[in-house]
Amino acid sequence: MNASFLSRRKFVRDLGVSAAALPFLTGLPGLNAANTSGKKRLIFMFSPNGTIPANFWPDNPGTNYDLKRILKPLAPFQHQMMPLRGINNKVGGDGDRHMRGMSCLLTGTELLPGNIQGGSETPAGWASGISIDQELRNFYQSREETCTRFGSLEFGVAVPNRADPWTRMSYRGANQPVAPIDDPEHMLTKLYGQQKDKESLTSIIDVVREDLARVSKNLGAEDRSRLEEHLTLVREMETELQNDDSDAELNHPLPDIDPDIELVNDNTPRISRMQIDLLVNAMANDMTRIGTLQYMRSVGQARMNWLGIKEGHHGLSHEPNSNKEAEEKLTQINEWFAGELAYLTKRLSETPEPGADGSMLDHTLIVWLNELGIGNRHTLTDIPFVLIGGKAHGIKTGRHLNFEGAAHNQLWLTLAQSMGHHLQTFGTEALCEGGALNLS
Amino acid sequence: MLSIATKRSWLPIVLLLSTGAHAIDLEDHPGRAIYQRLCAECHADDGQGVEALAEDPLVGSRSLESLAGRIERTMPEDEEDLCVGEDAKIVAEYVYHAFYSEEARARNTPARIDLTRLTAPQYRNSVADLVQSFRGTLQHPETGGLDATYFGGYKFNERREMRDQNKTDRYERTDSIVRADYGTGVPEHPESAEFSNEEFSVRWQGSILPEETGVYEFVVRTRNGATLWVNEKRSDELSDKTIDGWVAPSNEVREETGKIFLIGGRPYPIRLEFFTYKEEKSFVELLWKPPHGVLHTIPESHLSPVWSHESLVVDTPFPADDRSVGYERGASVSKAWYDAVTGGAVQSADYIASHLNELVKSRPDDPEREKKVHAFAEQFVARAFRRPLDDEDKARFVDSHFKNAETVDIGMRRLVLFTLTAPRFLYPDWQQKETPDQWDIAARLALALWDSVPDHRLLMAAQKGQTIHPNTVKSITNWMVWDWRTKAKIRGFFHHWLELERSVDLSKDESAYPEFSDAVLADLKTSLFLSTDEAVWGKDSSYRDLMLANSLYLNERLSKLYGAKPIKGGFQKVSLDPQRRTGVITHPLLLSSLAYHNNTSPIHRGVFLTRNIVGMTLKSPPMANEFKEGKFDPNFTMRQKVTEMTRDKACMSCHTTINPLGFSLEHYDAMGRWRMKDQNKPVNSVSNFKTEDGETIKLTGARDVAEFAADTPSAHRTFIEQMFHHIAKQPILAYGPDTMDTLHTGFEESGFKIPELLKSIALTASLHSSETSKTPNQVASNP
Repeated sequence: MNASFLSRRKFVRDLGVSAAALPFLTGLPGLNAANTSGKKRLIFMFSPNGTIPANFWPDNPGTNYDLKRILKPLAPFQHQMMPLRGINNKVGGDGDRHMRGMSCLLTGTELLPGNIQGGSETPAGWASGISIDQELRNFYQSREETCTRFGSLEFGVAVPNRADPWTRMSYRGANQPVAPIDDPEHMLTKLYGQQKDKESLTSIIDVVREDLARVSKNLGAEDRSRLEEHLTLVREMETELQNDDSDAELNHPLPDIDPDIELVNDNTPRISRMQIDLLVNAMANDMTRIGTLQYMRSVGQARMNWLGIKEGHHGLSHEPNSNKEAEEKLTQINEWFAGELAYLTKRLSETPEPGADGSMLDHTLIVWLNELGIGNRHTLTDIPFVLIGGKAHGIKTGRHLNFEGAAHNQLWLTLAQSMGHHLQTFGTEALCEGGALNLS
Repeated sequence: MLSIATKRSWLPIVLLLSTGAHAIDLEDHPGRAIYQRLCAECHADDGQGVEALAEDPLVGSRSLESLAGRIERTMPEDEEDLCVGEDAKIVAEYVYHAFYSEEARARNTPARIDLTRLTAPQYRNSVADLVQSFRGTLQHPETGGLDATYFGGYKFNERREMRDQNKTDRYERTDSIVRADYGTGVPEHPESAEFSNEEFSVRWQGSILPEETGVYEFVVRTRNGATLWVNEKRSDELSDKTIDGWVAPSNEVREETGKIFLIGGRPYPIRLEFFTYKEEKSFVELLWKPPHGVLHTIPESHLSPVWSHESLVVDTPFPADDRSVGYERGASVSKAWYDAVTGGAVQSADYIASHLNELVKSRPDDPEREKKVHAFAEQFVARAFRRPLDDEDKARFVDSHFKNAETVDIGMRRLVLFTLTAPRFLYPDWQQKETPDQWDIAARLALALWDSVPDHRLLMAAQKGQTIHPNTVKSITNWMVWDWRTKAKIRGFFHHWLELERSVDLSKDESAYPEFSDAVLADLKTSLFLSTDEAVWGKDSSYRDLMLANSLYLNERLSKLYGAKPIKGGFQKVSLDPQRRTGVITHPLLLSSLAYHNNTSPIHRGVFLTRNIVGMTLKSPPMANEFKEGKFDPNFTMRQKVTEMTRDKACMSCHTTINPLGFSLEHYDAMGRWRMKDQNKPVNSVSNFKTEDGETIKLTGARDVAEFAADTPSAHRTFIEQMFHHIAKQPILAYGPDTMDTLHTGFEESGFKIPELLKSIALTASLHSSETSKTPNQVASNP
């Protein structure tokens, strides 16, 4: 089953019903397509259920760090990459650790009381504050030189259609979760208007015109004139469709997306690539400089049949360490996520930065994150953070660091400051003690 | 023998028209010479009027006698003595037959059946019913609350587990509305079901029955978690939730809202899931705000425990349809309209794409899928074009879209876009055939009675040729007229006939009418439609009840304002003093909308009664004259003010009719409540009223007007005419000069049963063939 219609309805609803009055909303380039100097972008990529530490963390610190299996797919970017160990989600309060792991991850603040009960501990509701991506979005949108058409874009891949603290990591503020868009067609429509509809409409215009001629043949003069008016409208639309060559205004033509892809588990690999292509494309056209890419959700049960794994991801992550088969499968699952991250990195590294030297990767900082450290113990310590790119941000990658128990709020301070937003605290104030982590 | 004048020129052709017992020769009519000498200067040779002198065409609905009297009294202006007695009668006869009467107008400007497109409601209904036809028949379920399932004594945090629960942990019942404050406790439950106040959940489902088309705002007011689906069959990952309020940020009462566009008259599935978990208190209420309405708990009358199919609802905004001739019809095409149509087609293509497997009864891995899609496509086009496709049609309208498409889904998308923007779909009667075939008749019937495409049953009847034979087609209308779609369309008629647009967002002076709230307004609307529904569809009811019924539908709130004694709860029919309430003309909604914000308006009421109820024509006022309260003696009653204001002779030519009718409703204040006094003086609702036949009757109040309308042919005819235009969306005169008489006779013989009238109109509009309606003029000029 395809969900493009549902998404479009939601999309139209988000804009307000009157937006449906614009069936031919054209794709617009970013507001500042011409302003290209010194851009800094930020992408958060989320994958769930913790990692396998033995197959993830390098043994050696510093620039000579080694790559374990899970990070191997990122080998081509080892020198632009930085696994960060010893960073903990120290936010306490209500909610189970999956919930807090997810909804406190980008917000760095506690959950409000609520009615959602997890596997243990007390029930909870939404996060009580804004997330760092939305904070930076607001900061960028408040300044003319960094303002873009969307400010931020929230992509999802195989995110279940439900709104709860396990499923949302971006927040506009307390109690205001932002839903990721996990349908490439919906995202395409959001970015480029109804380009695909235009193609279909163009293809039918000849048949309509032909039939109009046939229909009006036997009519009297008065009635025929009505159909002639109709024909004029058809012609006008044809001209509009021909002239509306919005691709020409863009630095990068829109990617080829199959609008009819079904949003089902087994299409996840294809959907993932489409979403990455759209994200890179939107950033190349400067429609946004902040992006999130969320795979599934905390406690996600993706069944990676394409890896030959029949069990759900979350179920597997609960298996004890003694279950080596489960460990192997979880390693493969995380390798797959790393592979998707590698594709994103590769796309950015291959795309020249518009109007500047270097690649888009030099101007983009990617943060890979997870709601847990270790799945079967539900730890919120040693969360597998990986930074990639970010040359323009002044972050010195190509090394492995261990902060031995820093609060992840501190990492968000570093990121904010590297983007020109000189926050001294973010989220729970007490957790910002020690200030930004030094990554330069 | 007589010759006739056309608007353009005098035709040399001499035709015979019989008017009553004798034929009239207009060319040599003695009245013609008088007319040209005394009247033509202002009214022009052809009666069409002269700018700045007499701008309105000399047309109307008076009888010949009445017209003669009028000329005698008032014409020529300021020289009334010049044309009196026999002269007035002779010139009246000439005027009447040359251009004044309905027959003369039909002859002079022959009305024709225009090629019209679907109106906006017709487009929306047709698209919805077209897709519906692949899901089965959409029934209108019995109203009365929602089906409720209560789950208790069971721990869950995943929605799907609600469905998997053990049967013994639940119980079902029907709830009239969703409004429950459980406090710190639990829902009432049978002994057998275990409930803990730590956690329980409820699912309400069934159908929602909106009346008007437009954007509905749904609101769930709750302290806990709730999700609402409207017009969505699925509840799975792909479902489109109207409200997702599963997470309760605190235990305080909050409002979760969601908006959705719905077509009025259709039933839609609705489902609300609610749960509470370790929260101190529990509360849930389901409300809505209909278009132009107020936020209120969804009443039992708009809910049904029976599940309905979901519908494809095109919510693209359409420009207003042409109303220049007094009723909505698809007479003009514009860019805004074409964009809306295209937007609707795009939305439909999206919907069909996302529901294609369900609609074609297939699965993604079905080896037969392509074949099934193709078969679906063929039927889709045939049903949209309202007739079977021949081989050439199939090649052109179906196969061509798939031929160059990369996938069958892309081909299907193109086919939908084409079909719903194709002239064959948009102009249902595009062939304008002289004699309609069985498919044309089926298509016209469906448009006339349902504003939609033929359904399966009607198509089967057409297939068997039953639509073409007078007897069988009559029996088809017998079941068609009782369909819920006819009911929806007829509500639209009352909206138009009673000019209810005036009631949209109506408000009253807060100090004079503090009781008149938005809630009262919304209730009045419900009350009025309950009355009109009963007058049309009730057993033994008729047009006469529409005029004469002495009852109102009241609920608790309205009974305090309009009832003899207060009642409790929802709407019920309440009998009132027959001298105080008589049919729709004394319905408080109508009386409120035909009034000023702080006072009554006998002129608005009088004009409405003249034109729409008793069926007399009025010219536009000779001068614009604003009603200004300040101009009058502050002690005047409203009647005195209006009398004073319309004293002028130029005004009185129409106000002799308007004022008595308007004054007859002076016992009803600006919100339609009965009153005995105005400005502390007793209300005077008595007047002498001159009928078109020159007869003077005494009107003592509303009931006299209602009785006059119930018994008077001109009132019946205006009702028939407006109904005809609402149903056929073409001028009644285009269906031949005898159509009105035939319909009138039939209406009267049926005892003024409105469904009978609807059937007759639908048959007239559908069976019409252009051969039979050609006016003599057309025959003559086109030998």
